[in-house]
This record gives sequence, structure tokens and C-alpha cells, in this order.
Amino acid sequence: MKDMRKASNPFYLAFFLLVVCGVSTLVMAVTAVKTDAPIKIAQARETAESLKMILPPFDNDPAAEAIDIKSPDGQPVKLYTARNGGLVVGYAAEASASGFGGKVAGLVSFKPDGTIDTVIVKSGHSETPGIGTKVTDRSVKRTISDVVKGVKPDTSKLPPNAALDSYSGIKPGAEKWTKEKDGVHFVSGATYSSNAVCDLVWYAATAVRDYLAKQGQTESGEAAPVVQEQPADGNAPAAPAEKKEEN
Amino acid sequence: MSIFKEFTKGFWKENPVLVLVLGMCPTLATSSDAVKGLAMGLATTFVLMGSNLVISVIRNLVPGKIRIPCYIVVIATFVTVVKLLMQAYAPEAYQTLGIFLPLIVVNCIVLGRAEAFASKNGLMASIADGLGMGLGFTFVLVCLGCIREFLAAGTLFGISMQCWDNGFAVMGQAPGGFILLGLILAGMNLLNMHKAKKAGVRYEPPAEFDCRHCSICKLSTEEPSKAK
Repeated sequence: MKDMRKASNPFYLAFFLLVVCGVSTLVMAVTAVKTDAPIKIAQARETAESLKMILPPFDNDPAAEAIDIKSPDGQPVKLYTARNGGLVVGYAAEASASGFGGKVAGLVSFKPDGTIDTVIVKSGHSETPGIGTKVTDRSVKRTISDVVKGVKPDTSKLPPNAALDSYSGIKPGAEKWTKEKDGVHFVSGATYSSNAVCDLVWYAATAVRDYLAKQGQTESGEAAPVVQEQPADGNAPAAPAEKKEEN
Repeated sequence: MSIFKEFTKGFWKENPVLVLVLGMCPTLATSSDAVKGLAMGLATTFVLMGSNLVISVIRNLVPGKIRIPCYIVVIATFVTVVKLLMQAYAPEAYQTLGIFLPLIVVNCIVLGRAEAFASKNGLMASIADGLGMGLGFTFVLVCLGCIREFLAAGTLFGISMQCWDNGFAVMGQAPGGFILLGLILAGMNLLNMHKAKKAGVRYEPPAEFDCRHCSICKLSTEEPSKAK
């Protein structure tokens, strides 16, 4: 330092740090303001894409009319309603539960009568790769021979996941599902992740059940949210009949 | 040293992971698969380059006593900027890295290069050093990621090699990463010893990489020594 007296003066040091922090705050603030809109767009796009994957074709914007409900356990659940030509064709509920590496958030789609259709876990969780991710991730399996032959992965439908697909086609009962009673899939070695998925699906399903019951009461038959069953369109990769009892 | 030498030393001679053995936490956490390693490596490279650049510019302004907090603020700013940019323009990569991204702030490689190099060297040399070190880090992460991913899941960059599905699960975990890294470091030492034996001298680890010579620990009033 050219000026040692100045450089060791605590007020000068404090002032210098203040300036450094001020400049960095300015840089971060500018970046945050500039990226705010693109981040919102990116997040909205992710939700919209997920909803499109798990719900039957719809023509409204479920994300715009999403409502916050609570499961009987008091867990917050975000409910998306998909309509096609004014008729409710399905619901999707977003819930989260804690897994092995923190929060696991998922989207569960429901038929209009409250039966679980498809479960997906949102990316961005921190479950152990190779262990917990067996329960949570629907990953496209590509092999080296596909790459060599130039086979393109099929992106039109969701890749299967035995654990997540085991919830398709069931309804919440009085008690939480178990492996023995309801055939839901728990992966051995990934207990925490399996529990997290079971929990979040349970929160979503019970919240939707209560929501539908309340709606049925208030609107009593008039515009009941139940419409005719949509034809299975390949969005539910595993029919309940194929449910496997492994492990 | 020429700019080019500053750039290339990060790959082998002063590789941040294999020689300096810095930044073990992110190395082990993000080298469980190749894609994650690559993303983390590139994010770190960007932060390293940016922080080296800024620190090299302000190196003569910052009082010695508070240089470390100043560097940390600069690094943290860059990490936040990278995080926001990734969230906005590369959401997939952001989701893969998730919690690891803020950890770049406390990655020893970034602070280590700021203190050991950028605070003593000019602008171009510092950028070259940051880029070289970052790419060396990325290179090691991708190599480790490939080996670990292949052994643990039989895949490379998420593509199945059709050998096995349920491989060597420990390799997907941090202990497996430690074991593999230990074997690689042992191999490097063996290679260096072999080289030294051929040259007829006893192998000594370079003194300047020794922990005792690291200037970060000398938080006294004195300036970091202008050695080299």
C-alpha cells in the first residue's frame, strides 16, 4: 500500500469494504432485475410442459387459475384444473415431502373423479443418484447401440418408472397406502425417497379428495366436476393391472 | 511465464484437483456423473475467470488487511450472477446443479487462485490462469464423472453402455469418489517418482504447493509475498 497510515485505519478499511459491497450489490441487483422476467418465463414453461405431459388434452391455462388448498394433514397443495371446452378433464396437484436429500416436489394428475392418473417428481430434488433417483426420476433410457444406429428417443410419452407408476389408478383410502395393502412400490435401499414420494402423493390425493367433496356439496350435482372418462391416451405408462410386486 | 504457459499449467502441472488437491467438496459431490461434472466445471470456470479478472484489476487498490473479505465478496457476486443467468437461460443445467452452485463461493480453488495468482499478476495472465485452472478442474471432474458413472450405473453421459445396470453402487457415492481420487493421486505420485528416479533425484512434492507455504494462512498486516 502506498499509504500505510491510511491502509491500517479501521475507518478507511470499513469504508473500503462498504464500497466493495455496494458495488457488488449494485451488480447483483441489476442482474436480478434483468433476469427476473426470463426466470419467470422459464419456470412457467417448465410447469406448463409438465402439466401437458401428465394431463389429458386441455384448452385452458391451468397455471393461471391455480389455487392453493391444504391436505387434511395441513400440507400446502397447489391445485391446477384442466378444462377442455369448459368441462373439467382432469386435475393436477403439486405437493412436496421431505426425502433423503431435502424436499421432493411432485405433480400428481387426477381423473375428474379423483383417481390418480400419473405421478411425476419435479427435477431439482437432491435424492441420491442411482438409489433415490430410481424412485423419483423418469429418465429416458438410451443405449449406446441406439446412439450408433441413430434411434431418436421417444419424447411423446413419459418414460416409465415402476415406483411412480404404481400409484396410477388408485384412490386415497382412510389410511396411507402400504406396500402390502395397496401394492404401491417401495424400492428397497431407497426408503426415504420412497416414503417421500408416497407422502407427497398422499398429500396431493387427500387434498384433491377433500376439494372434490367440498365442490360436490356446494354445487350439489349441478356442474359436478365429473365428466365422462377420457380415453386412455398413453399418458399413464403402467395400467394398474401390470402392477408388479417386487422386493 | 508466457500467457500460454499460465493457461496450460492448470491441466497437468498445477492441476487444481490432482496436484493442488483443492476444492474436494465440489469435486466429490458433482463428479458422480459426467454431465453434472461438466456443468459444475464450466460454471466454476466462468466464476474463476471473472473473479480473477476483477481481482487482478483491483489488486493494487485493496488494502492488505481486508483483501480476503473483498475477494469473497467479488466471488460471491459472480456466483450469484451465474446462478441468476443459469436460472433464466439454462434452467435444465440449473436444476442439475441445484444446491452445488452456491458452493462455488467457498470453493477453495476460486479463492486460492485469487490469493495466489490474481492478486500478484496482471490482467491477461490472471484471465489465462483462471481459464486454465477452470478447464483443468472441468477436465478432472468429467474424467472422474465418466469413471464413476460407468462403474456405478453402466452409463456414460446418461447413455447406457449395455454392460450392466446395477454396477458398483459405492462409486456413485462420495466414498467411492474418495477411493477413486486416492487411486488417481497415488498413480500420479508413482508417475512423478518414476520420472524423478530416471532423472536420478529423490522425488519431493513441489514446496510451493505445500500447505505451510500457502499465503492464505498469513493473515497478518503484511502483503502477500511477491515471490515468483
